[in-house]
Amino acid sequence: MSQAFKIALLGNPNCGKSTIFNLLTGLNQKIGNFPGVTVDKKIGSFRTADHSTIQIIDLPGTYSLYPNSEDERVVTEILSNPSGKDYPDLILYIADASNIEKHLLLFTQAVDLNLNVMLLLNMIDVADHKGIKIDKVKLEQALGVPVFMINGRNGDGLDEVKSQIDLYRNSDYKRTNPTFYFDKNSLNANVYQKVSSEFGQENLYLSKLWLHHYSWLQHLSDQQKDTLDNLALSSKFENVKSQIEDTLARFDRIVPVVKKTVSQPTVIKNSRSEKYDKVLSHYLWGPVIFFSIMFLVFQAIYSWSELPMTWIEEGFIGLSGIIQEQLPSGWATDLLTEGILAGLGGILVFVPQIAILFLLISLLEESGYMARAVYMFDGLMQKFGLNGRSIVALISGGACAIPAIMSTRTIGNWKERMITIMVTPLISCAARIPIYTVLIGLLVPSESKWGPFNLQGTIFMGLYLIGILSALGLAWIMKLVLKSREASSLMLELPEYKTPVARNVFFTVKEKVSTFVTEAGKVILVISIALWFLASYGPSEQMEAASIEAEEKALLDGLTMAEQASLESSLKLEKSYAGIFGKNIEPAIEPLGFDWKIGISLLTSFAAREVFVGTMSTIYSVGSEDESSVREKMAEAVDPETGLKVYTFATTLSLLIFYIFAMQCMSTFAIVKRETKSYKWPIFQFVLFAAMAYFGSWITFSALS
Amino acid sequence: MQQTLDKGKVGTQFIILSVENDVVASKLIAMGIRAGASLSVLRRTFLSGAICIKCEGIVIALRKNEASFILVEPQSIT
Repeated sequence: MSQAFKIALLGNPNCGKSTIFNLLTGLNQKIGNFPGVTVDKKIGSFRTADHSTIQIIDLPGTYSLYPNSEDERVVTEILSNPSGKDYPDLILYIADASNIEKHLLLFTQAVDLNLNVMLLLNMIDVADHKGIKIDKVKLEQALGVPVFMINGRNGDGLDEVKSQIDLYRNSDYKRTNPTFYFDKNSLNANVYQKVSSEFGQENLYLSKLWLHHYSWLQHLSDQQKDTLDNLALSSKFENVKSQIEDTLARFDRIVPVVKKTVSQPTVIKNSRSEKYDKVLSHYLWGPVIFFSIMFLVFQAIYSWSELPMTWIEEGFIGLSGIIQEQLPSGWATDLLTEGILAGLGGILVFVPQIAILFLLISLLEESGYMARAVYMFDGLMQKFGLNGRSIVALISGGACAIPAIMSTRTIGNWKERMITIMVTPLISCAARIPIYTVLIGLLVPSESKWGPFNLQGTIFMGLYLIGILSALGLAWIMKLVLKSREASSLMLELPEYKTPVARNVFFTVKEKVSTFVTEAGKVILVISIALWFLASYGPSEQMEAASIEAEEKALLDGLTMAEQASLESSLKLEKSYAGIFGKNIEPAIEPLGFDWKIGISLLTSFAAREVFVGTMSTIYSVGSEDESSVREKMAEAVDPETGLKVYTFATTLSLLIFYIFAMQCMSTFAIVKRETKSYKWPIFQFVLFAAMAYFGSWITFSALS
Repeated sequence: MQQTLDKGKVGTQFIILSVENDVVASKLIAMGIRAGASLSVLRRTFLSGAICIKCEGIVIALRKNEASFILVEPQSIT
């Protein structure tokens, strides 16, 4: 065989497909892309009993081949293109054994496309427990495909499936019953015949799918689309009506089959899920419990990640210290330590937060709780053009925007997802805290009171509030402006609560972390090296002059070696390209109350907001990054020409406002690029936030001075 | 007595008579929910943003406006 044998996993949402995928492939899985869409392609491989390698693809869960979202479209795209490279040789169709009737709809569609299908009845233990009896032999006879009873949680029954795959591959057996469920005498049968003869393929159901979906199917050529368009027009083909007709006809055939082969208990016990939901989805207690859970998630991201983040940061500082000692000093060593290592450190430092957030989110998702949260908050979020799921991103954004934006993957609606991604970075994240601390300290003394409240604390809260309100405001505006590609809908199945499968949680976390490190990491590394270059290099004569000036001043004032070194780096930063940038943009930022020194910090802190404090300490040659000593120096700073204080009340508040809005974070930029799969959105976001920051600061400064 | 599902009281059993919107209908049908099926209203959210129903053995959350297309009739208790 020239090519690997290809299997696709197909099934409805909540049928346990991913659990089986993880069970079959283990570590032999990776995430790829479907061309032209943001949907992840999960592919992997496994070995059957006779040790042949089988390629397996986990298709997104869908109820039918008439898709409602981008995810679901992928399924129709692949299965309606028999000459495509992802077209499967065999389908493993996963169905929930407790609800066979409902799960058989998509199955019949796959059968009618003349695909080779094996039916895997999953969660057989749950069905047993409910008293559902399935006559496997009769079901096989009625459906004309092999049927297996399996349990995805422990792998029961999968060995049998594997050996059946071997048998199948080594035999000439092909299904002989095309378009078994499809109503060939339907109203539109003539058109399907015409499409089939026009395109030279026999399968009428495939013709019907093309006629339904030609406007977005990527594998059809423009000419083919024109032909289909003409046929649809001339026959007055009605898309939705024909879809309903087809679906009802299928159920007419499915229902008697299930009646004959599956026996349901007469009295259905109230499930445990319903008892839990009386509290967990209660109109009042539900939201209270949700916010408590989110508060714990938020706390966990904050506190559990602190220690590993310090290790990573200190590890990198230590490592670059060793390299600086071992290697001869020069630009190559600087590039390695201050550019590349600093960049890598900047990437890896986010790993703990991402891992913790997705550990907790996937536990909530796997247990079935997340669907309840979506149900509870959908109404509120709708008012802002967001989705029930957006609330998770918005709350996690208070810790870090990176994992928060990655969590929007589960929002099916394109428009709602884009709005969530766009507004999440406006929620003040943990990295803004050092800046807020330094600047609020400059603004008011720590003992000041506002009524009974501590004034610093009140300002702190005010800044967070501005962030939240502007996020909701922007969402509301985008809701009005953005054109939607698809109708927004909730219509969500709430699955039964179940214990999370550890394997699935592990793979989710692993996938999120490796996606961030490899995909966003590339962008972060490039930006980090560019910023290092700008801050370390300048016109060479100027840079030399800076060194000489530091030396002379050191002699004159009798400075110690350390003081001389920190003065030299301060003068060098001023003469570097970053310094030149700062001075050049000074006229533009003067209306905000900023001088060129702040201009430099605005450039360097694009790496990450907390870099602001470090840059300030270099500029004022503090010699340490301790927040209070940096703040003292800044408080003393005066304008050499006017002799006035630089950090007046107006300037400081203006700078605070600037940092609420500005997207001063290359990692956010990189992750938005990765999640939207284009540079368009992150650039738009960067420019928009810069404009909001500029005008916000300008208004603040003008009003106060 | 016909009514639309969005006005259905929590705890009531209904029979679906028809769905007056083709898109909503097609989605419901794909989930196995057709005219003639019986459903019960389980709960609503605060400010009645969404409605939660049980039908054909599954629990589904619907928006209020989605529910407003579903024409139902209370099921007589036999």
